[in-house]
Amino acid sequence: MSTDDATLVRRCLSNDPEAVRDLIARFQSDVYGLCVRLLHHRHDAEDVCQEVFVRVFRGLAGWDASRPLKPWIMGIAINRCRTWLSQRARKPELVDFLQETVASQPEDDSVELLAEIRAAVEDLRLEYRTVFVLFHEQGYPYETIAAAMQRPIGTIKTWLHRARLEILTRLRQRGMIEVELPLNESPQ
Amino acid sequence: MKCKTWEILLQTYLDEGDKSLLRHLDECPDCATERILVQRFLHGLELLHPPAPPSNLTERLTAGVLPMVRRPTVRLHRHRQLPPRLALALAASLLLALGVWLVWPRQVARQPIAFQNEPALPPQLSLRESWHEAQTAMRSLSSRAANETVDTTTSLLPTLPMSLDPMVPIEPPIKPLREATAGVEAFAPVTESARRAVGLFLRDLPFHRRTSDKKPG
Repeated sequence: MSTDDATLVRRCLSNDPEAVRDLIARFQSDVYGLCVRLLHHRHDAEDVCQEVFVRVFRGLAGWDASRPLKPWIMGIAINRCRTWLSQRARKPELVDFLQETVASQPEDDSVELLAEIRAAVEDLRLEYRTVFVLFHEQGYPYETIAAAMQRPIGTIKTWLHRARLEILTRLRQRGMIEVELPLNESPQ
Repeated sequence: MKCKTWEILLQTYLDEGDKSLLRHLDECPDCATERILVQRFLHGLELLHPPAPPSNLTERLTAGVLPMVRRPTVRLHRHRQLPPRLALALAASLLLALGVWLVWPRQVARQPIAFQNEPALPPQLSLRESWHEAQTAMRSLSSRAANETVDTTTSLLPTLPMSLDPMVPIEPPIKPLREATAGVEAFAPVTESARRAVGLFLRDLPFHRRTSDKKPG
């Protein structure tokens, strides 16, 4: 845990509104990004974000200061998304189609490839999807993901491996192997 | 046969940067078809990026979170203190209950209720006395039943049809069987003990004889 996190938490516990805002600003990108990927709905993601931070601030007094703050917050976000998804399954609503474009428009068929990967990720089961998003999109190390999901690192590795294979199977079924691209030798 | 080595090498490549995957895909003839697929997948992973949050998300979240964060403190404070009227009513009720409990006349230790006209239980008899009483009762019942049976039969005779009229008229008994057999040796009881009588009866039963024969000694 960084010293900044500890200081920020102490300020939040002293009911400093500015500290609350700082903590939200520090973690909102990670929480929001995960919620959007798990829920596929931007408005739902914002609502869940708010719930997550409410729970974070209510639980700050009981937070173990010897543990890092980010996995704890992300663990709350994962649990809230799971609960939200189970509630939404009982009350189905219209799906918010995410109109997302690639940051830099490439000249090849990257848009289609990205859309296929996104669709494949959406079809993964929740645990695989969470691990995949946290590792490949948020860039979390295995230790942080394991701490957030409260699972051993070996389990996280297994889930991520299966998620990759399922996505590859989906790409193969969708015929995404026609164009050959040069191999990029720098792993993510 | 399809080579699955690339699946393992893919994990080591993405986790540790091990280039064995690339070499294997170039050299293995079975993995030639997988090479393009893996290329596409690795290229797609580079395109992944987290969604950008809305510009004013921080302000909206802060505005939504702050009032809800302060609420539990107020709620807990309210839970600790009872409303004054409720507290007064509760105290008054407790005092009233205590006063009633102190003033209310206590009942003296309860005595067991004795019944005045309770029927007296018969005196407890010993086993020998009970057995003797049962014997006497059985004897009287047997003699009375025998006398009554003969009397009833005799009274019914005139009503029977002539074909059933007995050739020899039945005379009424002079005395009961027990009195008539008193002093006659042939009618003397074999034993006065009920246990011995049962033993003598069981002795002549076939299965009892077989089992008793098998017993050693």
